[in-house]
Amino acid sequence: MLVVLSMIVFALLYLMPGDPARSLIGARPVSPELLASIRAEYHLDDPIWEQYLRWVTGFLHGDLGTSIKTGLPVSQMIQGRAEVTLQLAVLAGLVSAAIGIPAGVIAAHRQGSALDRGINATAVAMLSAPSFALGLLSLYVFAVWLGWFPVYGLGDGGTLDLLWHLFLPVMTLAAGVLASIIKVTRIAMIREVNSDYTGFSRSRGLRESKITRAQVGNAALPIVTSTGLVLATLVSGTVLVEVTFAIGGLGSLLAEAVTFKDVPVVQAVTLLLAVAICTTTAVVDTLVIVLDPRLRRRRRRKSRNVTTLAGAEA
Amino acid sequence: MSARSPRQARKTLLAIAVSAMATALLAVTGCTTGQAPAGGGSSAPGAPLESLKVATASQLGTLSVNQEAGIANYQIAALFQEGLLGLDNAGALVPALAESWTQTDNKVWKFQIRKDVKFSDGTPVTVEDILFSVEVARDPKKSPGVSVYWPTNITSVKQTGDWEITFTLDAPNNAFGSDVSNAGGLFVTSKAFYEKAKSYGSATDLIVGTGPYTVTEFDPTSHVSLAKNENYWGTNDGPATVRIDFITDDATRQVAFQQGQADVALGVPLDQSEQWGASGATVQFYGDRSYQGLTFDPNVAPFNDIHVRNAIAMAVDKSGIVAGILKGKAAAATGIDSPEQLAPLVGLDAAKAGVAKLPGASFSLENAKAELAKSSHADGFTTALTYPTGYPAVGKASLAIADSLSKIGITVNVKEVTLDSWLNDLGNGKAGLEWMIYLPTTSIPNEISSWLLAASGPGANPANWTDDKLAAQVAAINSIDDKQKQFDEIMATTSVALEQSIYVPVYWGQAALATRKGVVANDFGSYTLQTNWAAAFTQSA
Repeated sequence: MLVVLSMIVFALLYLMPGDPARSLIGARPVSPELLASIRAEYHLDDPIWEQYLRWVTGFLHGDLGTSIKTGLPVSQMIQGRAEVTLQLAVLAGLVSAAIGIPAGVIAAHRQGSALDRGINATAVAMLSAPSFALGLLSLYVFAVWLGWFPVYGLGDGGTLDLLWHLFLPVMTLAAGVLASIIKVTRIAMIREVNSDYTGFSRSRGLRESKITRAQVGNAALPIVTSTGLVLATLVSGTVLVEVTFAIGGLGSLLAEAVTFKDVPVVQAVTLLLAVAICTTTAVVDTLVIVLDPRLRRRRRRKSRNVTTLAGAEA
Repeated sequence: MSARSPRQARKTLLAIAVSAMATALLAVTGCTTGQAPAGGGSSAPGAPLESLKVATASQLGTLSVNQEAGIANYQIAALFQEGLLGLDNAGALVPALAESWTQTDNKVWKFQIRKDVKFSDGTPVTVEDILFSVEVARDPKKSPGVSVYWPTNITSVKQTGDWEITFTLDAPNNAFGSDVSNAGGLFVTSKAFYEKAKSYGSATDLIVGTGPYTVTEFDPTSHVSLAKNENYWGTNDGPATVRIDFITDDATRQVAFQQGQADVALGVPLDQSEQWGASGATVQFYGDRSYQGLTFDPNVAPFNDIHVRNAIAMAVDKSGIVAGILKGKAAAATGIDSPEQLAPLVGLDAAKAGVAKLPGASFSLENAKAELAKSSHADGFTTALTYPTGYPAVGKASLAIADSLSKIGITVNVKEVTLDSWLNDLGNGKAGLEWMIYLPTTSIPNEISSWLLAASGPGANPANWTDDKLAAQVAAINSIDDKQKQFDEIMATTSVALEQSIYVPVYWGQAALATRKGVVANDFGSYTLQTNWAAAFTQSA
């Protein structure tokens, strides 16, 4: 899949109008010889397949290439930025799940109440608000008006200072995902809350906490599956958040590289993000197997069948 | 089911309402809460700042101007790297690593190198270091950003004395001094450092230079920090340290500035200067010497008809664009090189008077219609006009021009394209109508017009225009020593292009910076950012 993705991205960039060599020079007079010399340095006149092969060979040998814009090794450019984006996305994912799932459960339990309507309305608002607008709003309220958080950057201090600087960007990034998780959890939980087993459990006098635990367990499958899908959108959401809070991460680097047609950088960042999304999906799939007893049983039965068949053949 | 909690719901709604009210309040008053100002120091008026914190709209990928030659790269490098010559606040060439220079016939340029200069790492500057830096700068593979500044007609670069370097050109070039300055194409570094560096200009290989400051930290994702270069050969009255934060989003930069997290903000959006001026801050404007104008390719129909070009020139309401779109923070262009660019030749007032006399069509839709009627496209036609992303004022000006032209029967489809795509299409021989946006870095008086008027045929200028007589006249400007005569010739050659409506100048741009209360920008002009600009900021009374 990653190979196909790298090919598609490479081809799309190749088809995009523009010449990175011209961008390096800017709107200044340039002789055809000098322009040709710069193009040759970055192999821009080579056929597309040759350019792709050169990139793949380098990639397989751990060389991500050299940025056309900065002339620096791509691995060096993405090193620090990947860490920032990862921190941003992981924290936003954790916050989304930690707030979204309980909020959805509470809303389902109090279906139709003012609290349910409040949670729903907040979720709709968070889902509808563009992240840059939400980012600016939180900047004005929490950084300017209340003065609780810094306006931009990641600070120069330790872990606590970093977390303090990341708070607003993380909350901004988490907002949309959090809202989706609330909606999904609420719907999944309402089905459980209104189910017959909930009624029977209550009539038999089971503790409410025990019933809720059973409901959450049964609703876990759709919640985890949907959460996995929406978490993947966190990665694409980092672009605007990084720009608003002046945090140099992979998102802003990718946007800049696409505009400049800086092929080696775009290729590396795209693949890195694809790997992150694949990893998230794999983790979610594993969690689904762990959470769903039917799938566990089916896997166990399948392996038992294989063992039996193998025994029979022997 | 558990009991409902209206109290909790009310709290949620209250929080939302408070947030909304706060935003509304801030939007109306532009109010900010104060934090300790970023710059330290005593309160003596005019005293230098101990530290200077700058918020800029640009972001650097590398410190090497040789590679990435954006205007912000030049401005930041002006603090830590030098060429043989430099610029003063008025744009005149001044000694830098060369303590003096002479030229013969504008062809043989001799530079006497300053002795006993050290790089910021304490190693001595040798003639070999300078020759090496020249070699790197001229190599398009090593220096794609600045190699374009170097004339192709250099026949030799040699050490001609213990402390002398001589450049020999095969044709006169009176602007060569600018080419070897750090406003043009030369950024001297240590040969040993360059060869040792794994990634020159990156955060791990902080460039070693001879400027008034030395880079102490560079993080391309956030900032660059500098401290006074203890080995600097000259005097530096600026702050002990300078930190430049990259905040590309205008709104975030404004909030950070108003929160006191920066002493100075560069790249203040012209249309938001009033908001930036709140809380005692000062917004200052200066001509950035940029040229924005239309280019016609006279080889492409219908722009091969002079009546069509004249009609469009008459339909461009420059004053309306400057007043309405740029809120008066620009000047309606009557020529190609701005008065600030020409000022080093004859002074600003004389330059302004000179460009005001240049021929050019006055705005009149009636005359434009009549002119179009004389053309072979009397009923009008449809054409396209693209502008690059990141230039919203040019986009708005495009729409204003399209609106005017629609009244005389010409339909203009305005389209925004990426900067990369726009650059690639410049003078491609297919588009008949294009924007030219040019921001000069050097103080060469005709830096822009020497390209636009190089009318020796397709590829030589963005209009692909041919006028051999004019091309020869423009080339001859390079050998004129007399400044007044040079100015007169620039005016004369520009007149030819305007009379033929090859170019329609629209406006000369301005830039704005903001200083917080307590900080003042002294004598800040069009060339200050090419000098040790950190020293221009001091405490105010």
